[in-house]
Amino acid sequence: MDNKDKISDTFLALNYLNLSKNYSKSDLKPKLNINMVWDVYLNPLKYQNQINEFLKNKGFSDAYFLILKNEGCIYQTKLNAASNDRVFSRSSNEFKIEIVKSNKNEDEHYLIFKIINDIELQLSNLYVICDNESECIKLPILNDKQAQILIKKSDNFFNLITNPNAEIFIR
Amino acid sequence: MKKYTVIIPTTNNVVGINDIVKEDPLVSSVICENNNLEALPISPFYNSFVKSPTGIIEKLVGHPSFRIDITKPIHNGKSWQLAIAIAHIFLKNNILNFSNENQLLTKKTEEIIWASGTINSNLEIKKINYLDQKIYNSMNFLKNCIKNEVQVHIVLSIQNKDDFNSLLPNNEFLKEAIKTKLIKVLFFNDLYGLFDHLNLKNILKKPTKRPSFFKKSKKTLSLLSIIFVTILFALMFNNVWQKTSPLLNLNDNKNYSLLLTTLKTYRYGNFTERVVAYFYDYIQTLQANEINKQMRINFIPYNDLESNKLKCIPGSKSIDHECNLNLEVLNIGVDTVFLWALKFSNVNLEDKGIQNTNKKSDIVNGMIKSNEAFLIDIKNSHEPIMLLIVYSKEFDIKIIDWLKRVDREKSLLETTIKRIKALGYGYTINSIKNVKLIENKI
Repeated sequence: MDNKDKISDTFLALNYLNLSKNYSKSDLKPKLNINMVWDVYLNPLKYQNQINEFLKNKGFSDAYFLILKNEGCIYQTKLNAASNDRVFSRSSNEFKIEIVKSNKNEDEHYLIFKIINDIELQLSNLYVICDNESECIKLPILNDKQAQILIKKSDNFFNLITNPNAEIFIR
Repeated sequence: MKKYTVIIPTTNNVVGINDIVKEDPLVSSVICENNNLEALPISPFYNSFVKSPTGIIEKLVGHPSFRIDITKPIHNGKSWQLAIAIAHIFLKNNILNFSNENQLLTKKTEEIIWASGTINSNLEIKKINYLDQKIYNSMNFLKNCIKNEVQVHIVLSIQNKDDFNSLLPNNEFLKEAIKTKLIKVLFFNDLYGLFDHLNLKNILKKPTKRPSFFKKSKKTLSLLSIIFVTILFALMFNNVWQKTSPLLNLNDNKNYSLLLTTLKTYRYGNFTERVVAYFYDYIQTLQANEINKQMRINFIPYNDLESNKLKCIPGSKSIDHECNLNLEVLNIGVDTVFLWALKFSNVNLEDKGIQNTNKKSDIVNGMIKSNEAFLIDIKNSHEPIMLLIVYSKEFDIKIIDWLKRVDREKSLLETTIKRIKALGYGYTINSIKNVKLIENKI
């Protein structure tokens, strides 16, 4: 990264700091480092193992998802579900998610992710946010616009992604 | 039925199969290590190997999605295809014994299939690389099998035969184990060969080549065409016969006037009638020609006076008017022929003022046996005469009547000839002219 890019990134970070004025002072976590947020956004693979820890910080996750939304990602909003039942299939114009139970183990499920249209973005992580919780999972290489991940029913990720109130970001 | 344990040799490990589970068809097939959640990197290749139309497992076992767990990871390559395909077929037929995570041989293990090779869509087994490394890595496992008295089948492509044989001189254990038949090394062209060898032909049998639908259709079409053409010919023959039989009956009953009328109608009738008339005429013409061929006519001039004898030499086309004339009709055929000869003048009697009724027709008839001759004396006349001779193999009394009518009415000659031809009788017409010959002597 040359100096020009660094300056540009710093201005963008400052811009997001201004956005943080929308939050009341008491809501902000004392140790939120916007440079770190920005770095995680730019280098998701570098922070692959730490991202879930970072997302536990509400300030970080709010700023991070705001950056994601503004800077480019594919996204699904909360579902207008009639009940609070778990959702095993959801789709938007951009992608579709199916969760299929494994016949081998009741605790295991397949998360099948399909992109509907071609996308120029490099998709490496799938983020799910529900209420004040968020989780991230690394996407495998897409094969024929499709990826499949084995998830455990007992994991929090499963709870979040099957929750109709969850929002999904993929970037 | 005996159960087999399938082993996948790799360049790093000897890998056993833990579990194979049918998954929802929506799911892409995956290979995992020892029930872990993470799919191994070869999973997309395994999915392509399973799912039709590219894959063969779905075609072999009828399900498109599986999860396989193996005891050690496989990171790349495709030599696992042969062992995995065998394992799928064995599982479907309930003769597969799974290995444990830490124990490839279990108490249930009866026989081992150690297989390495790739398979194409025709189930042909193809050559693999690094066979020496795979054998080397499997040595401890193979020794353990021998120790536990478990029969081992090493299954390879026939294309690897030379590679394997080149390893033997340096491997005393393997040489000895093969010699004592504790290890059997099997080389095959295709997967069918293995199942045939293991007496499991009923599980995987080479499909016999059946004629394609088009070929089948072609055969059916040919058969239908033959039937159609046969029926068409039968109908045509029936139609022709319907029209021909009345003609034959009329001919047999000698009802000539009706026969000729019917023939005339047929000649201007529909297609079948025209065909019948044509063939009838053709056959009658053949018959007439046959009779004509066996008859020979010779005109023999003669004169009793010694002075005129020289003028009447046979064989000349012109005969002196002083000569009398005999007609010799010779039958050179085998069958007896009946003959009717009419001598008549070209000039109508009415033109000469002679009453028809008073004139007696100059008709001769007779029978000529084989190789006999019939002699007719043609009296000398100063008028030109015509000779109409009719031949038949059967005697027909009506012919005399027809000739008499011609004698009375010359215009009936053409009609009578048509009638004679139609009935298949032979005939000849000769004209004897009375001419004055002027020779230029100087």
